[in-house]
Amino acid sequence: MKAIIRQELLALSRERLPLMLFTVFVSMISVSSLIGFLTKTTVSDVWIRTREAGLTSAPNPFASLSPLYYARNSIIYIILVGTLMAIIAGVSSALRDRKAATIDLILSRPTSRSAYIYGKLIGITIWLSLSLFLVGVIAAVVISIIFGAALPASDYARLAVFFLLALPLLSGFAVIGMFAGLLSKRETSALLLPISFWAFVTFVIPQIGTAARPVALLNPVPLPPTSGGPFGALNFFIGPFAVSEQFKVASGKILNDPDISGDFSKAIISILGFAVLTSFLISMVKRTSIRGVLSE
Amino acid sequence: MKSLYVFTEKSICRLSVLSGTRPYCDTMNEFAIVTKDLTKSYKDVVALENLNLSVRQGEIFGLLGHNGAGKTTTVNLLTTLLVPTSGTVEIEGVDSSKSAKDIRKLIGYLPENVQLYNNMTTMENLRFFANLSGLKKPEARIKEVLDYLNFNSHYNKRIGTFSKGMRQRVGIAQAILHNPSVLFLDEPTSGLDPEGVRQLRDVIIRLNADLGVTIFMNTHLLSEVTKTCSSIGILKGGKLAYQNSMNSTLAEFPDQDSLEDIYLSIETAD
Repeated sequence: MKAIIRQELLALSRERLPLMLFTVFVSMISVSSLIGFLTKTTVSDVWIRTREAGLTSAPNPFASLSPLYYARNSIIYIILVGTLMAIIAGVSSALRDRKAATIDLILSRPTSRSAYIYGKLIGITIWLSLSLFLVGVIAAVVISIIFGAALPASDYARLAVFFLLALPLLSGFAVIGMFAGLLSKRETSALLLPISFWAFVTFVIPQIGTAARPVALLNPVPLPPTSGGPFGALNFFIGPFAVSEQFKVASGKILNDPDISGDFSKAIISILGFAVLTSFLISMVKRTSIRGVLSE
Repeated sequence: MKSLYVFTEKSICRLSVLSGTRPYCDTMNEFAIVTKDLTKSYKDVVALENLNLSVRQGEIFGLLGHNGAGKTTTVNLLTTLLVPTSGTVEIEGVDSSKSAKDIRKLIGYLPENVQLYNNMTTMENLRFFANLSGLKKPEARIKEVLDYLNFNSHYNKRIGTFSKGMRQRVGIAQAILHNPSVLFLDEPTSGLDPEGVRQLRDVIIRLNADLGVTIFMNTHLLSEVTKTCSSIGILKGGKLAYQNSMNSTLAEFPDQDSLEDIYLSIETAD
């Protein structure tokens, strides 16, 4: 299994598409803190001018906010860019050996099906961990610079937990990508199927449970679920499957976002359950399916 | 001539048999490959039917047949990539239905149209396959094998820059890294230019002569079989139509001018 893990890391570090998405991911996370800073500066400027004009006596809305507020936009970048990066890594991993016609070389050696699949999965998870560690460090440094001082240790810990929580979410989507890559007969369907699944989980399920407000789904703050009525009943059952929304709830709570409402423990169970369920699913892929020939 | 220095007990044994220093080894089976009533069906299509085949230790066996005759299915069954619908496969006395993993330790395999990983070097590709075969620190062994194949100068070059013939050499290297007892080659000369065909033929003959590796190759190039193989089998419609040693085959058909004529007379016979 070690050989497969090492090979996976080497391949991911050289393949163009995963690397391109990784670059976009790192860039977006890096600028997300800056966007938070610019938001604060702009709103504070407006507040100062409004107060000087005697139009308000309300306190500065940012005065009591945690510096972790600047990391708020990272949530949406993890959901939009990070998960896509994970899907592409999973698809690339599954297609690589079939495209290179090396799958028969691998399976004709004393390597078990589970060692092959889980070796790849562990390799991708390590790659995702390293990516999240890097963006976590960048986010911590940028926020400290914007804040003008080192953050309290508890804030660094919260930031670390936030990026750690992103790992099961991204791993789950990487497995979905691998699953599609292993079972598809065509490269295009191997890419389209997991992306359709991602769009369904991220945009369709939350809309069903939150009375259809699609634009709000691009906000880092999750929509409050509909209570009562048929939408409320529906949300009770399908809400946990909207892992992206659950990630927003859990991350918002971890980052001390005052606007977040929702059940933290339910959100954590949903994210971890997603990772465990997808890992279980991929373990059921048969040896003969792994050998399946790509028709393009 | 360069030689490989890493020998298993079995390969030393095989060499001693071939060189005549020992008439037979106790630890060795007479046959490297034996199939009994081997059948493979895909839904309603029977790709291979009741194949009874035996290949002796140290032979170069050529399996001939038209496209779709079942050659690749046979190799896939022998290399444990496919599970038979019925019948058995034994490699070096090991039954594939009981211990496929043990068979995978004994064999080397070069599929048709192997591509390898283009964005990795020869060394990186070979290290991966060596590790999969259980070699812990394979660098020295890789250099030794590349040296044997006169390919050491391409050690750190990326596979993506290689010609088909060069890739095929790396393919052969990955197949013999772990010193297998039996080597399976599926259409090894397919797509190679005449120079590449000649070089690969030399490598196959040297491997067999130096290490006594049993070689099983699928091909439809009769000229290659004549120059390389010590025995042949002919598949026709998923059934073994003929099997014999090359010398006996030529003696059996004295009226035929070439192996091509022999092949056609067997192929067209009812």
